[in-house]
Amino acid sequence: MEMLVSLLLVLTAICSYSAFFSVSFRMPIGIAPITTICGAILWLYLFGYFDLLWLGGLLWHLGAIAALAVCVYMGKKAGLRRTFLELLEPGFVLFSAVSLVLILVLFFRKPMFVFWDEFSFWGTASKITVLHDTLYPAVESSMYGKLAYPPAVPLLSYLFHFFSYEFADWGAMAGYDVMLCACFAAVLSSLHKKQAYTGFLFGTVCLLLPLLFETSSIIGGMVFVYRTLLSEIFLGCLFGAALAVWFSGTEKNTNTVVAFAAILTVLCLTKDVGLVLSLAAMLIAGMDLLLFHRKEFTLFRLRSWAAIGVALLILVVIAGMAYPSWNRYFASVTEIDRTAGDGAAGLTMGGVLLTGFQELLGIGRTEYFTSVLHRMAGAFFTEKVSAFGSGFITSLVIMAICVGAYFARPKGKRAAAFTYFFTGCLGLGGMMLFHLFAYVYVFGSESGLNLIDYTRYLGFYYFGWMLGALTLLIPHVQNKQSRAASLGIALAVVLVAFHTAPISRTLFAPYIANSDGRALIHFRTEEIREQCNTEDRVFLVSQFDNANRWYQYAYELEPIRLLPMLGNVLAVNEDYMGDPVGETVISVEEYRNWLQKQGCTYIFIDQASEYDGMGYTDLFTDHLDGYYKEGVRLYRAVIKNGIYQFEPCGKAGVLA
Amino acid sequence: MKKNGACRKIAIGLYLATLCIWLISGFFRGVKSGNFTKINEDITAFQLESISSRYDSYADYHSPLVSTDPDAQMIYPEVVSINGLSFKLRGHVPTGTPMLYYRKPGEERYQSVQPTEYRPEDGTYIFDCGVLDQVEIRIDPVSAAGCVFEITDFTWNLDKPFWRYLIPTLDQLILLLGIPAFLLAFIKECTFLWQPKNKTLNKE
Repeated sequence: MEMLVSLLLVLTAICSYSAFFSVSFRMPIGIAPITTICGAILWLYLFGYFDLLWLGGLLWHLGAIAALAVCVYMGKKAGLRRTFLELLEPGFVLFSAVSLVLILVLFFRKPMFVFWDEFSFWGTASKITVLHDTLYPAVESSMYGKLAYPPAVPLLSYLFHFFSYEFADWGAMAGYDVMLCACFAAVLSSLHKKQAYTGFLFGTVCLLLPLLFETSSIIGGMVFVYRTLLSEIFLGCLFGAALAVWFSGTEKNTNTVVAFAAILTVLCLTKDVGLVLSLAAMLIAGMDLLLFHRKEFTLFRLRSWAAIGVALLILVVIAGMAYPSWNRYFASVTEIDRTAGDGAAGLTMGGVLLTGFQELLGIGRTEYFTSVLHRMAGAFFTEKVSAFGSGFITSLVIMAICVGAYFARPKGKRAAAFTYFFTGCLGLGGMMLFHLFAYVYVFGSESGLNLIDYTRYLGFYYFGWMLGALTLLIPHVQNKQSRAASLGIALAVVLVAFHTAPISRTLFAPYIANSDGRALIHFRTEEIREQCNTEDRVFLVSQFDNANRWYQYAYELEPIRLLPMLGNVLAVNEDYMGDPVGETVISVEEYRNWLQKQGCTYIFIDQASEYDGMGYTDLFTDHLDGYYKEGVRLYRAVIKNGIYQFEPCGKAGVLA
Repeated sequence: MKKNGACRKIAIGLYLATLCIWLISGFFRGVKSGNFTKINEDITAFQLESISSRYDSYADYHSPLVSTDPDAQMIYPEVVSINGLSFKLRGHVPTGTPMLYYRKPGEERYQSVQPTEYRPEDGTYIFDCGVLDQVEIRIDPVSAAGCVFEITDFTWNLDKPFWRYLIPTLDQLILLLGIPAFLLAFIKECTFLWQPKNKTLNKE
């Protein structure tokens, strides 16, 4: 219940700030929520950098109270009711109403994380940040190795958990969903109250659109949109929101630049690829500014070219600062250099770019590079990136929206729709280059030659690009032709969404498939928690595991640490640090010594086969007697007769 | 004012029509379901078949553990009418969520139903599947890679009172509320198409 209260309080705080920005600075109320959330993430990042995260959160919430007070004070002058009604524009109504509904649905459904990446990073990093009031790298935890994405998603979770003592999967998902709603509000931000029906139609389109770009729904599986913490939809939405902020208003001014800059910075702080997305957004917006808004553009009190120069400087500085600042922070607390050579080729980021461009131009091009390049080129026409089809088909759909926007827009503003499409194509080219280099130099040959996760890596760019295209169309639906075209687009998206992702496979379904394995692990860790405390080190035996269960247990047990070992057998691979499958068979004495050296205080046997286990029964005081009938046991480390060994806990060590 | 009045009438009409359709269908489903009785079934009533043609299924019914080949499917040999089922599943290596499949006799493709509830304490899965009248049933216990699993306490049909069929689940509620609202907005937007010329609704 306290999680629900926390979420509602934070949502209220966001609404307060949004109202404040709108009333005090005349910021369109539709773009205020996303600006507020991005601002909050950057604020928390700043405080987290100096290990003052809790203070940052407290000040932010105090600021929300002050913002509300200022709103009421200023509203009283102009008439409180009138001020309040002025805020109720379609974008803001969509944001507040849908956010509330999603929070309540998540509260009743309480979905759990189920994806590998949620346990290996997104969920675990968020949980650590929330439980320790510190940026996650600064905490000694079960997160080993170099996986160190920037902290925007964990900080978003922290913001929404501020009033909650515990971390809840669904609470983090709710925060993520509120962020998505804020992005959609930006798309609708140019609609007025009188266009409520248009707002409703396109609000529905925006809410359904992610379903069309989610990998598992495209291939007919469960739909995880609105119940996940994976970054892809998040990145796509932020990218789309940045474009929406730029293209929604008729005026480009300080508000536009502030909101745009805040979103781009958060993009850079979400994942490394966010930097590429930021550059693509800057290219698209920059071209629009130079070609169509050069004269009337104002920034603070500057105009025209001076304003453009300052805006460019601001954007380059923040995008250029955000990413290195995280690398620096990470290096300072973990002594791991993120920029040092990594990945399959062991190249630094600069090295990847240099070698990549050289090979692209034919200088020293390898056969492997050529084959990945050909596959990438072919994949544009063959690999499905959305429910519409391949990248090529999806680009055609976006082009159709831009053509619709071209005819809908008043004369003199039409060319902006085409410029948007063509600069978007350039951005897509940039994304493809980035992923070509990533496949060749970072992911390894198996991923590179098979283009593993191509849809996941590229799909969200098209999603953001399409959101931006809708922003170009929506406010200009004035004549019959454009109205008919927009209705056709809305109906098509709704029908395709219902065909691709029927409601029985979404968040609203009565049961969330794949959660049962997770629910079982949650149930088992509850019992382990009763036995252990935060100083304990638990060693997991989970045979046949591909590391998924290890990550799930590590996530569940946090802040109790899980020792870094996994295996197909009851054996230890001492070299394990990131390679989850330890297959080195060692003697029972070596095993015992290794466990003692690691400070292991408990062994938890999740699953083990009799054949592999029998060589190690001497480690246990009960010789695993009865284990293979009952399954699942927790053993405590003891020293008996001078020998380090493990005795069963609780009711003969038998868990459910 | 007139326009708002018309809109209100259309909205009320759409919601009333949706409500009527829902109540009538719920009534008939409730009546039908009243004839289904709860039966405890012996697991041996099922036939184990493999989806993969490369392997034969193996079932040892003398043991409480049923050992099978990769991707074994449990097929009920008769046509049944059910409103749901439940069983306890214990896989020695948990691999995923079991699914219920059904099809009308003569149909080629199965439709799938997910569990509506899972109890980790005892591994019970419950499938509340509405009313499935005269269908062939297949259960996928997700016994991947030939892992041993055990199914006990299998029960056809759930204790579901008549009135439960009139109360929508969350996904049904979203559809009941959302579809009329979307239709209303769509109709409202369409009216512009037959408005007199040179009249614009949206002014920037």
